[in-house]
Amino acid sequence: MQTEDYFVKTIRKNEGIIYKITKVYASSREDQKDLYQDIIFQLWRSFDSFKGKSKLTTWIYRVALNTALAHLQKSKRSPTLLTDEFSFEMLMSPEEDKNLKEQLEIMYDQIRNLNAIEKGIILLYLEGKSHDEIAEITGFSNTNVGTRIGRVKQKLKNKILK
Amino acid sequence: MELEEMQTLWTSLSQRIEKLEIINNQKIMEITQIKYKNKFNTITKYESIGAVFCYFIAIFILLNFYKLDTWYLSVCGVISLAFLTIMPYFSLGYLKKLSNIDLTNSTYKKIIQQYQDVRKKTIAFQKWAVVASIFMMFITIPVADKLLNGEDFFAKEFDTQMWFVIGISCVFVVYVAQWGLGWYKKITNSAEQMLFELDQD
Repeated sequence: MQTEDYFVKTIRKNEGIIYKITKVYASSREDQKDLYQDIIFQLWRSFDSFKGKSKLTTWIYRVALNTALAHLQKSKRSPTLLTDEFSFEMLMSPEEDKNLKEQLEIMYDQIRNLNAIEKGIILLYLEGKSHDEIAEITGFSNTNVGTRIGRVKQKLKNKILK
Repeated sequence: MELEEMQTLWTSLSQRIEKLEIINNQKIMEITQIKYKNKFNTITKYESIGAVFCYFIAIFILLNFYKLDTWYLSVCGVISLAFLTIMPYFSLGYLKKLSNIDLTNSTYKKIIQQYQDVRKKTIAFQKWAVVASIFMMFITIPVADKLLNGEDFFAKEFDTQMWFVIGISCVFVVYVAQWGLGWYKKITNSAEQMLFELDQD
């Protein structure tokens, strides 16, 4: 019971991370729910084996990104337990900021168009992670992370010029 | 949109998310209780049905092997048996490798490498399978003809109707094979591109 409580607390504390990864890796609402559920399940599955060698958030990012990557290979969704009460559109009220909502959609689309490697790295970069932290989470070298971020910057600039 | 603009937006998004409850405690616990559905379940299901079908035919050939009473029909029978037993074994084996990839104890880079590696091997195997299927069509016809109709395909005289059926079958198999090869080639190219991206340091 203690483990379950701790797990629930951990998820509640880090649900924003899962939400953002879900939005980047899945485009339809149903896919997002499915991925969200998959990530929580994978975290639960390996929760006992987390030995604290890395920071808890590092471990969450790693499992969540790996699950999202696996989700890209997936051909069919599993039945979701997340019903209507689980809404991805509750971030802002309709009248609040239509412009911001549109901007966010443009941003998600641009990230979704990146390849799987760039997607993971940019997501962590936007989360404010340092090159060292990104390297630790993804397994790429520090230099490689820097190169790839530079490449994405260039890609985005080229897109604007077009 | 430039990366700097994205970062500003992302920060604003993160601040809003922090104030929200996306999922409640009860739902989290419900998710932990579900029987994990392997993401490759669907494809494995179809492959398994195919495998059972192949093994069923293989058993049928094996039980009636004595009816293949000439050396050339026996050779066709042996090749058919080998094909029907080896193909499903490899096909299911690759799927098992894909579903066994551990998402919780690997890095993002390793997972990509493993997926691309298994995928490349699977595609190479499928490519080979498409070519083998064309060959198998010509091998199984005499075996089926003998076991189902009791006739020696190589000894009988061919009428117009028979040539017509063989001709249509050939066109169909070549069309399906070409379509399949084109499809696999497309996937292989993207897999190779991903591995190339991965190797760049």
